[in-house]
Amino acid sequence: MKKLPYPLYLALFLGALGIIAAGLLAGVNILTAPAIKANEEKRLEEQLKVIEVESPSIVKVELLAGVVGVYEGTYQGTECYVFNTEDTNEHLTVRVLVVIDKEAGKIINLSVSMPATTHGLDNQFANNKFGVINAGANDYEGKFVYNISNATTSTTSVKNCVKVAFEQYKGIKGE
Amino acid sequence: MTKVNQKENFLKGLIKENPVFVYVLGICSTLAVTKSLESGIGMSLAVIFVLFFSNIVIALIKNIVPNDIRIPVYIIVITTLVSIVELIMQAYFPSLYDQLGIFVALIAVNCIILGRAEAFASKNSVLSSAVDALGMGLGYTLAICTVSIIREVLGTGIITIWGNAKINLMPIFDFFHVQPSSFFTGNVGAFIVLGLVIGIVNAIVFATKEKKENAKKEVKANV
Repeated sequence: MKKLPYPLYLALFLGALGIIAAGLLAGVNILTAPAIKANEEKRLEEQLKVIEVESPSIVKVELLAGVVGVYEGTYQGTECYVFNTEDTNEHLTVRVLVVIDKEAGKIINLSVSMPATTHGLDNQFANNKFGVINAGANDYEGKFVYNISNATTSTTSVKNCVKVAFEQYKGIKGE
Repeated sequence: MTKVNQKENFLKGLIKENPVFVYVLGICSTLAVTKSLESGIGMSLAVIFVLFFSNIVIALIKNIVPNDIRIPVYIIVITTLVSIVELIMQAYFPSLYDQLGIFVALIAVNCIILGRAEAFASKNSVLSSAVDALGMGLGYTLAICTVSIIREVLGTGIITIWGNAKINLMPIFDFFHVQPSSFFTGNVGAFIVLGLVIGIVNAIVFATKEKKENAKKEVKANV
């Protein structure tokens, strides 16, 4: 049998190892996917409670890229939409819940539901003031987004999330 | 392959060749996740898992891996293990996963792991590599936990062992009429605490070594 050329042998060796690794990861992924999904749902449920939106229900609309889900409910007696948005920047994903007044089209609350970006920002994201500071904004380039820290990735992602939430809102309102 | 004394092989990673204190490896995660003991323990467990299995796999396949592509092969093995840890942590320890954030994925570029693969596992038996991984992993744990405890106590007055299991040391602070300072849980505090701990450990190791050498010289002189 003819011997394989050395570079081809190396490529095949790496390819075979890659296939084994991918198979192993696929197996672990199948096993862990339900638990990860359940965690995300639980997190969203908790966040909806944190941002004090009462009786949230899913709004069935065509979702824009960056919008994971749209809900409607009431926030302190005001009818609102909740946009569950996400943005990936530098391979890191941030999820933000943006609560917008149905009629006025202004932010009435805002919460970062999945920081998992720059280590150590969790508490700052969870800070209620973050939502309060942004309340009243009606455009993503308006008086906010409050610059959380010098963490550019996170700040840019939060801004992008708010931007897409407004775009989705305008889509729903037919603007 | 030289015969390895397994006891010595295991113990060397704890102090004598501690990856953090002596080789100053894995500093990025040591600085970043030592804000609380809980995240330090979580990171240590993840590193021990990856180090243990990567050393075993690399020791097993060392004879069939072509020398020219050994580093890419090690990286595939290590990143696969890190991805497994990441998925397991995301599924079953979500709060810990959130705390550690990007640093779980960054285990893949932790110098300790690739360093042990290249320097030890690729030249030694499976058993020796496993023992080496455990020793080095525990050495990393010792370092990360020491720094975590100092930073958390000085920064918050509390030690968070796991979840709600906490030790409140505030009465000691109250006794001395001082307050914990958030400086120690910040980035600058991390550098200062780690630097001081490395200095102290190395001073002790150096003094012990010198003492042993002096004793040897004395014995020789007497003979």
